[in-house]
Amino acid sequence: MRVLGIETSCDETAAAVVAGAGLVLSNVIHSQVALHAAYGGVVPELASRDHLRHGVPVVREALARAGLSFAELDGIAVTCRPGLAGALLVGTQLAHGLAWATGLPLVGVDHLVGHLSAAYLDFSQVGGRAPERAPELPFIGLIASGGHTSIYRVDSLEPEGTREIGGTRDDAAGEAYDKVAKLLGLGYPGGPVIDRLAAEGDARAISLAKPMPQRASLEFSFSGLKTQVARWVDEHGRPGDDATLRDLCAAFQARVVDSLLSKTFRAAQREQVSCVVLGGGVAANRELRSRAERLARERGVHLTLPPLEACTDNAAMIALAGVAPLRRGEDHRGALQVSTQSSLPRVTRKGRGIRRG
Amino acid sequence: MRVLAIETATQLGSVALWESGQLVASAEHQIPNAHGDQLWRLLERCLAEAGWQRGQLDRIGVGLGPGSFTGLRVGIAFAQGIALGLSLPLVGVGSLQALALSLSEHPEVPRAALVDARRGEVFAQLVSAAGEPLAAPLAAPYEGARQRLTELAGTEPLWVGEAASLIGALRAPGRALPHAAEVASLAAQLPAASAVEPQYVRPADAVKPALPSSPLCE
Ligand SMILES: Nc1ncnc2c1ncn2[C@@H]1O[C@H](COP(=O)(O)OP(=O)(O)OP(=O)(O)O)[C@@H](O)[C@H]1O
Repeated sequence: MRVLGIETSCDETAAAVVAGAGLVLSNVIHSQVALHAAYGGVVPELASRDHLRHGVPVVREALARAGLSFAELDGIAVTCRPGLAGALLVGTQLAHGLAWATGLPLVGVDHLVGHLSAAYLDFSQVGGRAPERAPELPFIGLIASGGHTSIYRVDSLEPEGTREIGGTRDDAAGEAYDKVAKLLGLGYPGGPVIDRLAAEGDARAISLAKPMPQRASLEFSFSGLKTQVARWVDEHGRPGDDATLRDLCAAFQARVVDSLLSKTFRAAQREQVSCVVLGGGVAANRELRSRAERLARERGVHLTLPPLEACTDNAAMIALAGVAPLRRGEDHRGALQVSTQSSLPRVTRKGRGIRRG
Repeated sequence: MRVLAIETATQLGSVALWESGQLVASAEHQIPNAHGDQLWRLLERCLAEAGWQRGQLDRIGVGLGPGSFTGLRVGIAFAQGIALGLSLPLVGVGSLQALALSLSEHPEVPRAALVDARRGEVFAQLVSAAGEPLAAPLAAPYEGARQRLTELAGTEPLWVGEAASLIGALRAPGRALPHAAEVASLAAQLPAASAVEPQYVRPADAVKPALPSSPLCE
């Protein structure tokens, strides 16, 4: 089965063709980072305008690179939730028009199921690598991106088999990176710059309190950490020398990484699951990756760190997430709704039941 | 030539099929915020009514606005998908130019086509009696719009569209809102471009922060 995936939920216009089990035949991404950089964050209207401009060329390119025509595909998968409503609509409408014209079945995919599927993508035909060892189900998945930070128990790669067992009470981890970068005048997005500066800093030089330290909780909170950095800047001014800036970045990053990893590994222990998968843009963070590898070795956990191109937003993961529903014969043509909320069920904050977002 | 046209710049969403200077089928809805849900149904209905197969189409036309930003993109993205999927040319048509064409009288006077732009403004465009745009579409406050457009036209134009009442002008007989039927007729005549760009007229609301950037972020 060959599936065309389309992704426009935030600030990447992406299209990809993926064959059945996850072999990526093409993976095209037009990033809007430069467009939003001047505003210090994603401007929804600008994002929608740019998606409309780039959707068609990106899909064309994805087919051309895969060397396939529409007639050689078996279905189309498009991100329909969660994300910016106006941005999602551009992708779903483009996909809808394509499905109408080609007669191909169409399924709407939850972006977060996409992120959790990304560990299975095999990029070996498009200049990347194949997964060393695909994660076994069930696994604990951490998605940490600019829009989401949650821990999932994944029994199957579908909304029905995936449950959020912990999440952030306020900002997403990537959002905290972006806000702290803004405070420090480091531009947007903040993740890669802070990652780079932190590597040369000393995290112990500046003390910041642990966010959500309660051992038992699988919840995150990053807005307090950001406020601590803001307060530090109020008191000491924006770091005047490079060394202090690096130390501050290192201190902030150490706290974020601590929090993400300790809770993710705690979740694995609590759920008695031996497999952990990281995903989302923040999973590109080098300190997070190296510390996760160390922790996994120490605890005998089987860790999957998808390649960087699989962590940040892409359409290959959307195409792959569409394979199962398409195989089952699902078809959302003429009835595809977009939503700003994820479809993944969530254990409520007090842990007393499950509700759908 | 068989044309399929889509128009979603305002709350009126419509689809039309056009062949050899004639409207063959059309369908519309006015359910708020539902262009995304309705277009598929309207399209299927039109094709069934005309008895056409999608493979028999020759080009796709779409209204470019101005109008609701999101509404416009819903129609344009859908039309882009159809054109790409069928390898057909996509022709963008100004929605106000299409609205002006709906005028049912034809005196030699310029037309001013109008739609509500919200926030106390109309989107307006002057179009010649022959149907040619005389200027790019603009946004103008209700107050003073009538006088401004009259001055621009050099004479009192014929006011087309229900938004005429918002600026205190007398509406000439024609459509209330842009419709795919006129979009189709224009799309049949206009040259196809390689890409279509909506007529937003207004910029996106976005404010740049004043903070200078650190030299370290280079
Ligand atoms: N090396 C890094 N270290 C830390 N954070 C990073 C790194 N690289 C990217 N990020 C962060 O990841 C985020 C971008 O992630 P991603 O592309 O997955 O998705 P998104 O569009 O923000 O959101 P979502 O996937 O939730 O819709 C940004 O906040 C960015 O700062």
